[in-house]
Amino acid sequence: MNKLDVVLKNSLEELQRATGEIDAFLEQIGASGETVFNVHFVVEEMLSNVIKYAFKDSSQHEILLEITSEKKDLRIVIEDDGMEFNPLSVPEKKTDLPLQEREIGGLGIHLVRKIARDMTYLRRNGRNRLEMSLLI
Amino acid sequence: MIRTEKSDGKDIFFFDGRMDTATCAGVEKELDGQIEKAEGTVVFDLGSVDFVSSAFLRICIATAKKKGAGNLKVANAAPSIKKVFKIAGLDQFLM
Repeated sequence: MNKLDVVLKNSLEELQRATGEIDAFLEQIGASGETVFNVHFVVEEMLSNVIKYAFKDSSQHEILLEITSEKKDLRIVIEDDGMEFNPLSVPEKKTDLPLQEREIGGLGIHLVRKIARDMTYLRRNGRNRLEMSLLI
Repeated sequence: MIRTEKSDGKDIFFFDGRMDTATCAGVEKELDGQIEKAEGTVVFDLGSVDFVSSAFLRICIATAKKKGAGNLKVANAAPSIKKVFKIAGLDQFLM
């Protein structure tokens, strides 16, 4: 089993910094190009949502990112102390609407749901915990 | 700085590297006036792009809404990026 633990502050610059650590970890475990893209995608989408929307104050917060690889499985955990938010409760996006009826935003969670093999969410002790798994 | 080129009635915008949430915030500002000025088909060339987030898709949808769906094309996207456009139901933009 290989594991990466990253503690990020709630800023997009921190998220950009973390991509280097994620890249190094994925290289270490010999992940394919497609897996590298998928991991970066789900991490970028869900972490940027936390950074942008989870905190109402202007304080610094810590967000925990954990990536574990075991055999063919990759498990990604994001944990934060922001406002309660379950991404799995967001309604599915209709992606077959004509352009004029399409909303400009809101695709991130939809895409992550399609790319991740499964997702679970838990609210415990004032913290959001999102787990996602991908096949390597 | 986004490199641009006019060719065969198309306005081509060349993007580079990671089109993540932070990068796209700057890209959106830079594109703001330029898209309005584009007269022909707008082409987003992703030949040097290795990653897109939904923030980039948002820029594509906003651009297509301004210029008309048939007037935005996305060129030279890597397979992983094409997959994202397809899942998002935006493969109409792909060349």
